[in-house]
This record gives sequence, C-alpha cells and structure tokens, in this order.
Amino acid sequence: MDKSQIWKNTLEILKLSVSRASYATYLIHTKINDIKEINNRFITEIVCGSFYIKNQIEQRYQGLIQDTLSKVLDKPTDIIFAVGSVADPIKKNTDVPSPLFDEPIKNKEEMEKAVRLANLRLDYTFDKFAVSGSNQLAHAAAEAVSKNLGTAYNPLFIWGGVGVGKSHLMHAVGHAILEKNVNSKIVACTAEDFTNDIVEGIRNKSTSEVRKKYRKLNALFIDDIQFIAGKDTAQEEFFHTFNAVTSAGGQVILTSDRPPSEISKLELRLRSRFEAGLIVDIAPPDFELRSAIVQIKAEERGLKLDSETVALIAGNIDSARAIQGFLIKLFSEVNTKRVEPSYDFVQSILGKNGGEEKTIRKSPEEVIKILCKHFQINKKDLLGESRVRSFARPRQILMYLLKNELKLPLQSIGRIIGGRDHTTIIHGVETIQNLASTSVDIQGDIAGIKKMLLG
Amino acid sequence: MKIELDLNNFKKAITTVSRVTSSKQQLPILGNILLKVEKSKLVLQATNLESSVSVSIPVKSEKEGEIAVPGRILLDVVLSLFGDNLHLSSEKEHLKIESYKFKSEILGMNTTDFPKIPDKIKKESFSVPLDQLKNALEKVLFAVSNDESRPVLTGILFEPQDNNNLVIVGTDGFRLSRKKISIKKGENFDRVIIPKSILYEILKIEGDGEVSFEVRKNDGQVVFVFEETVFSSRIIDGEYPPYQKIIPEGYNLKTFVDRDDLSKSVKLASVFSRDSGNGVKFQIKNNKLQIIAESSNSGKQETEVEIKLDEKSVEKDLTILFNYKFLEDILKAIKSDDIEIEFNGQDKAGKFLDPKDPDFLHLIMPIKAN
Repeated sequence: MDKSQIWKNTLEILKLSVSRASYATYLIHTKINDIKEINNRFITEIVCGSFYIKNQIEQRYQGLIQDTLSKVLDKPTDIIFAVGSVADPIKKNTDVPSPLFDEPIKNKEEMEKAVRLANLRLDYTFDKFAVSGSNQLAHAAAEAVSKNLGTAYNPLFIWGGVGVGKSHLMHAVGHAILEKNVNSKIVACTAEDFTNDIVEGIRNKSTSEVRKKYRKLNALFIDDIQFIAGKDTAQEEFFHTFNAVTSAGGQVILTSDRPPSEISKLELRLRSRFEAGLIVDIAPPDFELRSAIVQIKAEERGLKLDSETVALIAGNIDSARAIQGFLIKLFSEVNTKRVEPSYDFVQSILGKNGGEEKTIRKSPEEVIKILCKHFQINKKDLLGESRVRSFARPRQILMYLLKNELKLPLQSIGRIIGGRDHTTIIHGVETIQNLASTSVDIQGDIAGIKKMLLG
Repeated sequence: MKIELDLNNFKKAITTVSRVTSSKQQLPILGNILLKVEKSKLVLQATNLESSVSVSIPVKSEKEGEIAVPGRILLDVVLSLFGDNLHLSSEKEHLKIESYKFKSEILGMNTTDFPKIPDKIKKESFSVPLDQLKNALEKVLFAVSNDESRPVLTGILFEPQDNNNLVIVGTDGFRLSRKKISIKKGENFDRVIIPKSILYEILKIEGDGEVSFEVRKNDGQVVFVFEETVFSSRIIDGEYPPYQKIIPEGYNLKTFVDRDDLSKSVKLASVFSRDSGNGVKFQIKNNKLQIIAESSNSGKQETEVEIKLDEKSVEKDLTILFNYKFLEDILKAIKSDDIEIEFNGQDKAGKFLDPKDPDFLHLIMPIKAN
C-alpha cells in the first residue's frame, strides 16, 4: 500500500471520531511525507499545510492519529509533524500566461525552415554531443566559434577518422548561430556538393548564381574538404569563396579525414589558408565517451539501459555510428519481441551482431598467429590444454574474435581450438564480452589485435 | 476576567484583529477573537490558519482570565459605542460589556480550542522602519497576481542581499516591481515568499517605529512585530521565478516623460482601449510620444506628449502596445514629477524608473501586436 492510500484510509477512520468541521479545517490539510520502519516500529512523518494547523493537530489529535495509524499499519507507530506543502506536486500550469518569464517564443517554423535551408542535420546539436578527452579540444573550439563568429578561429579545421563527430560539431555551430539569429545565412555542404554546384554552374553558364550562393554568407561549412584536392576549378572557386566569406567576417568550418598538410594535390595557397586558422583533431572515442554516446542515443529512442548494459555495448562496439546502428537494431528487437533491454538480451544480440560493419578477411590461422605475436605465447600453448590464466585468457579472446569477427560457427571454432566442445566456446565468448565492458586491459588487447588484423 | 480599558484603544485593536477572522470558516472558533487578560494587559488574538494577529493593550485589571467571542459581533458592538472607558468582564462563556448607559452580553466560547498563535519574536531576522517598509510595499504589492493557480506569484518575495539590503519583488507574470530597502540585519535568513494579504495588513498600521521580522523556515512561517501588534503568516512554498534574468540591462531607447502628462493621456486613451483588449499604443517618433487608442465600436483618440530622448538611445522610433491598467498602476506608484522609460524593442518588456528612487524598478510586458 502506498503512502497516500494509507493516509486516505486513516483519514476516513479519523473522520468518524472528530467533528466534521475540525476534520475539514485541520485533518484534511495533511499528508504522509515519509514512513520508515525501525525496530519493528513505524515512524511516520505527517506534513501539515501550515504552522497553525500543525500546532492544533499536535495538541489535539496526536494520540488519536497515532492509535488509528497503528491500527491501519498493523504495527506500533510513532508520528512526527512537519510543516510543508500538502498539495500534490503542482502540475505546471502552462495555461496561465506569464509573458515576462516565458522564453521568447522563437518561431519554430522559421527556425526549422532556416535549418532546412542551411542544410543542417536536425539532430546535430551541442546538446547531443558527448564530450570526453578525445574530442574536448574540438568541442571547446567549436563552442568558441559559435560564440564569436568569424573572430575566434577562422577557419576552424576539424579532422579525424570516420564517425568521430566532425560533422556533428560543425552542424552544432550552425544550430547555435541560427539560435541566436534565425536570419543568419549558412550553407553546409560536402566538398562534393560544392564541386557539383560549380560544374553545374559552368555547364549552365550560371556561375554567377553559384557565386551568389556561396559568397554572401555568415558561415560556410564544408564536409570532407579533402575531396576538393586535385580538382583545379573547384579549388580556385573555393579559394575565392573562402576569401570572400572570411573577409566579410563570415565563419568557415571545414572537416577532413586528415590534416591539411597530408592532403595531397591541395593547392599551396589553400593549404596555407587552412593552416592560418585552428586545426583540431578528434581521436576515436574512448570507452567512457562511447558509454556516454550509448546513453545519449538510447535516451533518444526511449530505451532504458542500466549502466552495466551500457558498458557492455560501449565495450564491444567501437565506433559511434556502429553504436547507433546497434541501438536501432536493439530498439526494433525490443519493440517487436516486447522484452526489456536487459543485460542478457543485449548480450544475445551483440553475439549475433558483433562487428557486422567490417568483417575481417583473415583465415583463422592468421588470427592465431597475430594473437600469439600479441601475447608473446606459443601456438601450442594457445591451443593447448593449460588452464593457466596467461594462456586461457588469450584462448578466450581467440574464441571471441573467431566468433564475432570471422563469424565462424561454434563447432568449427571448437575444432580449431584443440577440439573443444561448443559450450566451452560459448562460455569463452561470453566471458570476453563481459570483460570487454569492465576491464581496460582486455579492451586494449582486443583493440590492438583488431588493428593488427585489419592492418 | 474583569477589566477597565480605554474604548478607543479597544476599537483600534479590534479593528486590526477582526480583519484576520473569517466567518466563512467551518470551525466556529476561527471566527472568534480571543480575549486574554494577563497582568495589566489585554491580548486580542485571531487567526484563519493562514495568518494570525495578536494585539495587546494596557488595561486596569481586576481579575485575569480568557474568553473567545465571535469577531463580527464584538466588532459591530464596540464600534458603535461611545464614551471614554469600558468595563469588560467574563462569566463562564459570556462576555459582559458595560459603559455609560450601556450594557451588553455576548455569547462566547471556551478558549481551549483556540489555536496557539505567535505572540512574540524569538530571533529577529531583520528590522526596518515602518514608513520605509510601507513605501516599498506600496510600490510592489499592486503588481502581485490574484490568480491562485500559480501560488508563488500571489506572494511577495523577500530576498536578503549582502550589505544589509532587502529586495522586495512582486509580479503577476505580465509586470514586475522590484524595490530595494536597507535593513538592520539579525539572524541570517533565506529568501521567502510571503502571502500578500498579511502585507496589506502592514500597510494599514500607523506609527513611526520599526517593524521586526522573523523567518521561521522550519515552521513555514514568518512573524513580524510592530509595537504591540504581532502578525504571522504562512510562507508560500515553491520556487520564485528567476526574476533577475528578465530584467534587461541596457536599452535601445530611453525617454524622460512628465508623469502628470502621461497619466492624463493614458486616462484619455483608456476610454477607447477598454474594448480592444485594454491596449494603448505608444508611438515614439521625431522626439514625440503619441498615445493612441482605437476601438472599432467607440472611436479613437491620439494624444501627443512631450518627451526627451536619452542621447545614448540607439533607436529613435518605436511603436509598442501596453495594457493601460498596468500603466495607470505604475504611474500611481511613482511619486516623482518625471518618469524614465527604457525600451528594448516592441516585443520586450518596458522598464519604468523613478529618477528620484534608484532602488525601484518596474517592468511591463507589452501586448503582442498582431
């Protein structure tokens, strides 16, 4: 029975013992705030609507309430009184207008239109960007840029591998700018789009249109600028666009998969311009960041994951996009099967899914070789019978990799690893899956071996 | 009890105390005033379980004792009496009132059911001269909301600040008044929201002493004392809206206007604005302020008011729509000859200032122009 029900019952009984007027004046303005059980006795805190009411009840009805409550709870009960708000937590009454305190209502439609016009991704905002050591600097730079447009760092050059959040940061700056002024002119595109526009312009003899589109901007965001390299006209046009935008105080943000110095066939004058601003890199997300990403993405989809499950996912999937993909899969599984996304359930899906994105094209022999090299152990020991931790752990990692990366059936894995039963393999794979979410060493080992396998 | 007392003192005390009693209460005792004789003092008390008053007056006492009598009846009887002195005595549950050629007996009640209410301050939180407090409350109370659906806005925020200042804020969500006064600080206390009703009672007291306050956070209660009168009230529970955030810092346009001129033109405009949502249009152009009201039923009017623009104004023109009732209130609250108004655009709150009182400010949110 919950507190309010207990109190309701108690009040009903009390109503019979006191006068109607006293009941309506005093007792009705009370509620139970807390019930604690200590040494087989209940301690109940009763909140009264005001000091005067508390005072009266304490003086006149304490004994009566105590007796009644003891009977209702079926255990000796002590009561203490306090003053507080008795009304149920006030539903925020949004019907009552108070324009002074309302956030200035931004025209939502207008904002959406501006976002669409700028070609910004809707969900790429600062709110949804998780920050950790690997991307802290880039995040701080992007925030600084969004606050001091065109003056903080111009251009801002963000580089890093796939799925680390380059475009997310860039678009987040765009959202922040529009938030401040919905009429800001922003274009976000890829280097590919830019090149296509120029080719189109040349073909239709409408280059002036293209110039108009790109040169009169508050902010220009170009994704994957490395693709512009080697395309002479596009580079030249971009050079002028860049100058036009920055000289008018506009902000330029570029992303690339490598720093400007490593983009081959990039015109020297462009390279020097890129290097004039701030160049920041984003490293692949570390375990903590991945956990945060799992949490953010799961929340978006309304999935409730406990911290262990989050760690399980973050420990086994290493890129942000793959996490998103996995969560979509998990979401649909949870919905169609109508189950809770529990640890075991997630683990079973992880088993089916693990590393779907990139399959390693290596034979089991090669994997064994690399593993031996990594752990500095003999192949004989690795596949042998010894249960010493220093052999058994690598053996389990081998099972995990053969199962999840090479997608071998359990039986054949058993055969490869010294004729073991498939249940042994299942156990080994699960052990590593669990460890991957908790042990930094195992995470490091797996990441290192995977790198060697891919390399 | 058996006492003799001054009729005028008694009248005053009963008037103050009876305002808190409520005949609507289901419990009869709450419609009563408690009379209690202790040594040479008569203490009168009343409460409606939200707030309470306790007043004591000096009397010539022959016998101590106490009785509760219906407030309404006692008030009506005593106010129509004349003469100088009055004899009161109680016998069981009857109160006898006797004066020159007059005799009355009021049916009273036993006092055991009468709630115990604060009759003194334990630890003073702060004190402030009554006239200063009244002046501040007059400038803030009118802005408070009457809408019970947002309880915190029906109260006034008392917020202590460093260097012995107290900030008093009232708002109804459309307008906001803020007044700072300096206080003599005692025990530390946190910001509290006090129901406006008890503060209106303070406005009614007369005298030139100091008011002492006590915030009893744990009891959810404030107590304040002026001379022999002790008020107490519950504190409104809840989070006061972040008023500091909405006070604009700078301005685009600032004008100085003669208060009397503006009052007259707003009054004129109100004739036509009543059936158009109470809106009065301020149009600032060429260093002039036009006050315009239009009604599709009754007609329209325009008044021109001389203004002086502040030199630092970035903009020179503005059209903004205000509720005339809000304007009338603030024009009444400011007592100086001139008033200053700062604007930040037609959809931002206008800031009304009293050049002679830098500790006061008032915001009014404009009506959205369609």
